[in-house]
Order: sequence, then C-alpha cells, then structure tokens
Amino acid sequence: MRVIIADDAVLVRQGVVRLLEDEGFEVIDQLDDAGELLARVDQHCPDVVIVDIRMPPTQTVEGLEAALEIKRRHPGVGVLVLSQHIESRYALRLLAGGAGVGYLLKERVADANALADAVRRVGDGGSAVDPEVVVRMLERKRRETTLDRLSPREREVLCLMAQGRSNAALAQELFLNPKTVESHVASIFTKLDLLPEPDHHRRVLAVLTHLHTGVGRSGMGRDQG
Amino acid sequence: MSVRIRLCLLVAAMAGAAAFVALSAEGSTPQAADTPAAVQAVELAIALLYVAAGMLAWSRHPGRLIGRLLTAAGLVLLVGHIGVRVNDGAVFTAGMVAQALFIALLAHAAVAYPSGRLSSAFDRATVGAAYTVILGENLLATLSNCDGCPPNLLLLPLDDGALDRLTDLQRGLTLVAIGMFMAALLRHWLGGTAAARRAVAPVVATALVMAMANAGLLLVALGVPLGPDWAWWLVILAATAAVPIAYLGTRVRSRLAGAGVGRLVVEIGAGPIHGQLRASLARALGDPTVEVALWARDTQRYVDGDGRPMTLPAAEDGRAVTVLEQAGERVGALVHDPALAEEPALVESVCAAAGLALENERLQAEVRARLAEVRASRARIVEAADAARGRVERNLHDGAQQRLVTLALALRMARDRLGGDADPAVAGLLAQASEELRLALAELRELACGLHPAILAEEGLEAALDSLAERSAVAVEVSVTTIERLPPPVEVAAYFVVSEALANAAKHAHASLVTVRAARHNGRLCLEVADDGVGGASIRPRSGLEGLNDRVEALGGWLHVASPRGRGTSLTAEIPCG
Repeated sequence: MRVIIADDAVLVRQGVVRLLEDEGFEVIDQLDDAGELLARVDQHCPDVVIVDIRMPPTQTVEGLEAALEIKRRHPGVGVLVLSQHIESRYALRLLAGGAGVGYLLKERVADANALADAVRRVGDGGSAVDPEVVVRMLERKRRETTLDRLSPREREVLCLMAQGRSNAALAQELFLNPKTVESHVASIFTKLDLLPEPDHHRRVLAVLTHLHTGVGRSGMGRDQG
Repeated sequence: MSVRIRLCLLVAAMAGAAAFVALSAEGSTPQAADTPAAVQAVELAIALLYVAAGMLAWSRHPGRLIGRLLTAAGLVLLVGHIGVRVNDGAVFTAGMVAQALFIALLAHAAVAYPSGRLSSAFDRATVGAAYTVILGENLLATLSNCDGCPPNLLLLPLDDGALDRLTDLQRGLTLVAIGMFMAALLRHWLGGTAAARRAVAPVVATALVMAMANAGLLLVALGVPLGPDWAWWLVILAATAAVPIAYLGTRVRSRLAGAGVGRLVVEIGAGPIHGQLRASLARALGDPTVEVALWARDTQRYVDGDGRPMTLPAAEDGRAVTVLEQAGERVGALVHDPALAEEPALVESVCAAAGLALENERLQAEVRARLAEVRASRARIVEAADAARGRVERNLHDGAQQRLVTLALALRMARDRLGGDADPAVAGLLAQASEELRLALAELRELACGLHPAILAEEGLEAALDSLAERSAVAVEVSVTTIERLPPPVEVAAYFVVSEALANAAKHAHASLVTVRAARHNGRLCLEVADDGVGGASIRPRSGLEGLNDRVEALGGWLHVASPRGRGTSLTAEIPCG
C-alpha cells in the first residue's frame, strides 16, 4: 500500500515511517504541515493518508479538517487520523465523512501491529476507532441505557465492532465460530433497537452513534410504555 | 468705630423715645394733643422699627448705605415726632423738616435697595427729585389745618394767592417725583432675575403702595375725588410701618431658606446625586440659572458634569462665582445670580452642602474607577493564567508527549528486533518499560486535557460539556440551549465550573445523577449543575469552588451554591456574554 504521512513531530514521523516500511508499506511522501497535504494527495493519489490531528499553522484540528477534505475529494483514499485526544466527537465527525477512515491515539503506533492493522483496514475501505475511545463511550455512566440489556460477551463483541473490526476479525480475536459471532451481532442490534446494517462502515457508524447518544433509534421511552 | 456709632445712635433713639413719651403726655402742641394715644404709640413704634431694621441691615452689610439710610430715617422720624410736639418755632420747624426728610430718606433707601448704590442716572435723578420736592414742600407748607401750632419759620413770605399757586405747582412736581420713584422701582423689578426679585419683593411692594398712597393724597388735595384724605393717611401709615417689617421679613425668610439647605443635605445624603445636584442646588438657592463646575485635580481646571472643560464667567458677565472648598481643597464652583449676594448665609450653607456633595461624588468616582481597575486587572489575571495553561499544554504536547511517543516507538522496535531470541529477563524489563510508558502517556494526556481542554476551544461549550459528561464518574445529563459560540473566557469559565461541580458530585456528594443546564438568556450565560448527592457543600476559602467564584466574578458574573444537607447540591452561575 502507498502511504503519505503528515506529522510535524519529526522523530515520531520518522519512527512511523520505519515501522510502516518494516511492515511492507510504501511511504511515498512525508510532510510536516497540513497546508501542503491536499496538493500532495491530489498529486500522488495514495492508498492511505496518515495525518496528525494537530499541526501547524493553527495547532488545533487542521489534521481532522484535512482528513475530511481528502475524503470529500478522494472518497477512495483511506485516511487515518492520529490524535492525542480521547474525544468521541472527533471520531464521529471523521466517520461521518465516509468509509475508509480511522481515528487512533498517537501512542497506539507503539502497540504491536495496531498501526499496521489500522492502516490496512482503512486502506481497504474499513474503519478503525481507537479502543480507548470506544471503551470510554461504552463505560460512560448513564441513568438508563440500552447497553444494560447486553450480556458481558455481547458487550465484548460490541466493543470490537465499534472499533471497526469485521465479523471475521471478531471471530479470530475472540476465538469464536463465525456463526456465533453473527448471532451475537444480530442479538446486539435487536437489543439496541438498531436496524441491521449489512454495510461494514454504516454498521460501525450506527454502533458508535448509539454509544454516543446512549439510546436506541426509538428512544428509551419504548420500555417505559 | 461703626459699632460705637451704632451704640450712640441706639442710645439717642432710646432718649428720643423717652422724650416722645414725655411730650405726648404733656400735650404741649395741638399736634400732640389732637392725636389719639394709640396712634402716638404706633408712630413711636414705627420710628423704632426703622431704627431696628436699619441697625440690622447695617450690621449685616456694613459696607452698604441701606442700613444707614434706614437708621437715619428712623431717627429723623423720631426727631420729627418730637419736634412737632414742642411749642417753639425753631424746634417745630425742625420737626417739620425732619418728618419730610424721612420720606426722602425712605425713597432714597427704596431706590438704592438692596445694594445701597444708585446704579443708573434715572435712579440718581429720582432720588434727587425726592429730596428737592420734600425741601420745597417745607418752604411752602402752611399747616393750615393746625390751629395754634407754632409758625413755620421756613415758610415763604408770600401772599395767599401766590402761595396757593406755588403749592399746586409743588404738588404737581411731587406727583412727578412719585411717578419717577415708581418707575425706578418697576425698572428694577422687571430687570431683575428671579433671585433678585425674590430678595426685594416685599420691600419694593410696600414702597410702591406707600408711593401710590402719597400720590392719592396729593390728588385728593388737588381736588380729584379719590375718597377722604384720612383713608389715604391710613394707608400711608400702614405702608410706612410695613416697610421695615417687610425688610425684617426678608431676613427671616433668608433664615427660613436654611430649611431648603437642610433638604439639600438630605437629598445629597440619600444617595447618588449624579446629575441631580444642579437641580437640588437650584431649588435650595431659588436660582434656576445656577451652574455647577467641578474642579478636576489632575488637569487643574474646571469641568462640567460630563467632564468637558468649562470656563467660569468673569464678574462683568453679570454672573457671580462662589468657589466650593472641602477640607481646604478646591472641589468646584457655583456660578449663580449675583443677587444671591443678598443672602450670604444661604449661599454659604448651600455651598457647604454642595462642597460635600462634590467631594462625595469625587470620592465615589474614585472608588468606581478603582473598582473598574481592579475588575479589569482581575480579568487580566484570569486571562493570563488561561494563556499560561494553554502554553503549558502546548509545550507538553510538542515536547514531552512527542518524545514519549518516540520513545515508545523505539522500545517497540527494539522489542521487535530482539524477537524471540531475547533474554526473558530483558524482554520482561522492556515489556514493563513499555507499560510504564503507556501509563505515563495516559497521565500526561489527562493532565494536558485538564489544563486546557482542546475540544472547548475547537468545538465549543456544548461539545466540551458532553466530553466532560462522557468522562464523568457519575451519570450526567447535559442540556445546552446555546447554539452560537461564546467569548472564550466565558466558555472557559463555564467549562471549569461544570468540571469542578462534576468532580465534587463524584468525590464528595456521592451523587448518582447530575443534570447540567446551560442557556443563553438576555446576554448572559446561565449555568445550573444539580446533583442528587448528600449536599452540605459551600464556597470555602481556598476551595475549588472559591477559585471558580473568583473566575466567574472576574467576568462580572456570579456563582451561587445551594446545598442543603441530604437534598443534593445545586450550583448556579450567570456570566455576562455580550
């Protein structure tokens, strides 16, 4: 896969480049601000763009804005945003931009295979959401939540699903039969009042949105009659 | 000197009064014998009233002629009364002259009132005419109605026909003089300011009545049918008595005006007088034209109520200026009607009160300025602290965080390189180091977020409050009805208020649910954070809540904590947001 990486932290960027090259990715360009990025993407048409959320010139969220702009202009290019913020809102904004996006905490680059795995998924049109972001959403304290209806195993499945794992990846990670995974997924969707989503990206978005708002499509009122 | 003179005159008046009483009892001339005792008593009383009023005016305004004219008029009247009771030609004639001179002195005093000066040629002509016709009258007076009186030594030796014609001429001239007199008084009245009119009204009115009665009497003597002459005499008597009474009355009223000063002081004490001081002073002084000039110490010049430079009028502009002082320092000046010089005590009291008011106003302005300064510096301190937090957060992000991530990457690669061949002890150490690094990075991230929440600056209050709710150890329901962005200091303050309240709800209140409401209402951000915990919270010194209170107050807002024991804690705050 051909990758462009934009990060103003030179040492981290160089480390990531080495890591990706070790994993067999081709890093075709690297730069240290968001301004140039769009032009380079237009020029090189990479498979995946890795971008730090916070870069010059404003040191705010230009990485995120650039990622969304890339998705608008090149829906087929995967974009992985590296961030130091555990903010579900950023992840959701990114996912709303289309399939083939990822939101990872920057330190995740040091986790075995996490980065390469995310880059691959994003490049293949899948999604990747940092586990810490998902866990925080999942563990958010609520007065009342549909999540209480889930069994511990279903919660586990939901957590991985929200991170953007496919059913196959789930089965592998949890040592489950793919059929069992499918039935867990179906059960989760029923319990959360979600309509089944055949499309992978829309499934992730639906699950994350549900986690963010904490209520099902028909709201909590249904149980209260 | 003048005191001694006045004492001598007083003694003379007393002696005269005693002589008058003695002569009245004796009844040596028909003039005395024909006059009823009551009228004699009134005559004496009037003479003494003039002396008293004159003395008072003399002591009030030693530099003015009025006091001396009135005193002289009183004494001359007394001398006149005594003279016409003595059965001797010379003394009797002197009495006649004195009685006539009284009228001239009175006319002089009335025209010169209140300044004592004859300020126009017409005034001087009027007074000159008065003296002339009075003397002429004595040269012609026959006292034909006084049988048995001593002869008038000044009487012109003419035959009756010539005397009658001259007398008629004299009466006509007297009428002209009276006309001039009335015209002079009316001119003063019409040309005067409100304060001036108020000061002279009683005296001028009585003098006019007296002049009209004299004119009436003359007209009757000239054959015009205007009623019996005794009625005119009565009016003249009453008006003669009324003049000194009216004068004394104006003095009493001037004292009563002190009550207006009392009200002024009360008004000044009642609260902010800004803008109302002029009206209050105008009321107390009875001068609607009064102006207040404030003395600006820093620029050493006079300014008006709005701080614009103001030039005080010079004396020839027909305005008077009284400088106001407080504790020896100039605080301002009153520009007023010069006629108020008639009431120095009133002006003095009003100025004292106005001085107090201006000093009060100056002190208040100073306090307001200091307060504004302190508020601004408080806001600057909070802003500077926020900026410093932002810098620290950025340094953490650009420095420590990136280095630690780089370190984690290096460790990861080292572990990869070692692979399965590594010494288990080394591999264990490296794994431990990786885990420690992970924790360090997590702690650093929380620290940075607590210092300066990036999401607040980038996404606004609602997103930041939702993020707080997501991280909270207690269930939080957020309801935000502000759509647009607010000024950064307001957002930061609101964020920290909610953050602290949520931390307290989890740590101290043992709450299970917190509701957070934020709404923009009438240019203010209204915040409410209510939990269902144990309550009993308060803004204690050096507590987190006190810090928040300072932060909110620095923005001109307020923070209130209601936390009855066992009934939860409700924190409300309002912050102006433009």
